[in-house]
Amino acid sequence: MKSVEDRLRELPEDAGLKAITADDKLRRRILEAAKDKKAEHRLPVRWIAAGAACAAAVAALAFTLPRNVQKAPQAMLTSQSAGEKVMLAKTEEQDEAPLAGARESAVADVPQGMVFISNASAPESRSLWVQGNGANFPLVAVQGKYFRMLASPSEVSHGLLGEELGTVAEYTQEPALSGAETVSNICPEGTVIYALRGASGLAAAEVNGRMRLFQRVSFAGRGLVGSEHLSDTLGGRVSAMELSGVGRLTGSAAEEMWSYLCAGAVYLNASCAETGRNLLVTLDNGLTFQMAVSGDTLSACGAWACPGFAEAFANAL
Amino acid sequence: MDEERFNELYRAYAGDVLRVSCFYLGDRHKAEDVTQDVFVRLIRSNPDLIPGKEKAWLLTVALNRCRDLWRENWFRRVVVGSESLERKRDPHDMDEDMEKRELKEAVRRLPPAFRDVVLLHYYQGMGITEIAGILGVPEGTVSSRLSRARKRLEEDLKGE
Repeated sequence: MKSVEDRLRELPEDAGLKAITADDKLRRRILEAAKDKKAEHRLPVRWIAAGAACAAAVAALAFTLPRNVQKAPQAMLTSQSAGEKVMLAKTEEQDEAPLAGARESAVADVPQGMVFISNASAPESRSLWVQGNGANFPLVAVQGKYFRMLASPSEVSHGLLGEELGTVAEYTQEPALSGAETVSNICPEGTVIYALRGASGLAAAEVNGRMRLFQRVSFAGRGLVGSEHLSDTLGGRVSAMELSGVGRLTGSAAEEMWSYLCAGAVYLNASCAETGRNLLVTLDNGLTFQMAVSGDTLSACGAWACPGFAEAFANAL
Repeated sequence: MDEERFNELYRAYAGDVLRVSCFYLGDRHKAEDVTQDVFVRLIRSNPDLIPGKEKAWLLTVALNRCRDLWRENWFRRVVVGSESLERKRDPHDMDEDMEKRELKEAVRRLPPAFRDVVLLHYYQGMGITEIAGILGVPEGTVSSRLSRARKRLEEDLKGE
């Protein structure tokens, strides 16, 4: 059996690819296109037909999907405690905040981003994950475990910090290629990474002077470490669960639903594709993490098949 | 750009652009569209190409365009009638074709960053320095991506 290296080196000799040649017909087509100023905006006929088919399919889907299962802008309110105001440094999230007056706030009981207007019976989808450039979102990695930065809360109370998990040994924009034990593309070298009390799968580290929350996710094809199960990667004492487009469970119903989820989840792979639907799980310490939802598959640290989850959630409401 | 210069570059490099795009996208028609886009841009922008670097310029533009198309996942699922790249198989070399097809499919499953370096290094025979110039990344990054890509391919092909 040939090695992958040997097989790759044979690629230039691949007969199938060698048979593909750029003929005179293509050359003339290019020249015609270059003369036609509108050519760049013209799609080939089959693309137009495909586009029309897609438009029809999307229109048909729009009539069948629940209206609230969509990515709508979040109607977010700023919050502040009564008493003295504190000027905080503007963050990247505040740059994008829908409400312009977010520069002045207090380190409040209700962290920024936690108060929002939504229909309780069918909450709109909202994502807590901070976006990055392409596949490289802001993260820290410790001992093969990757944690993605959450947009909310804007600062984690020091009282919630648990043991030290590690110290950032390498700051790099290509964390997938790093061989360091502890790496980050958002925290400088020397930053301490902490576990969170009463929560598995959450971490905290200082970013631009604030203690920010990070959630366990899969990254660059890496998900579980050893023989972990879902509850090893995310969990704690659950106080609320919100499934976008479906509803919100609180109290013992939420706790039971999380137990149901963990008991029935079957690991599929190390992917974590963002979808238009989310499951937000709030712990009794006030912290919230999320899983992307696609049918009965939930993903965060890897993709998990949870047969019957959506139906069970709806029944529990 | 005058037609003579275009014809010269077309004869020299269009085949490479088309084959790389075919490999990347797995569809001849889309690859021809990419090739057209690349050369139309060449004609209209008439860049000041450094002699010996024309191919690098063309492949850079082609890979960017391929990546744009690859990201449109819905397009890949909806568009039908993608032609197979494979010629009709000779029954005597069925096993060899299967192995090569598996490899090409595995390369297509790689993340875009890994796929680019594999195509440029193994299929186009480019060195690390040249690839780093095309992709605009450090040479160390190119080496790392090649190493990681090979590992991924080994794991992927073992699972088949």
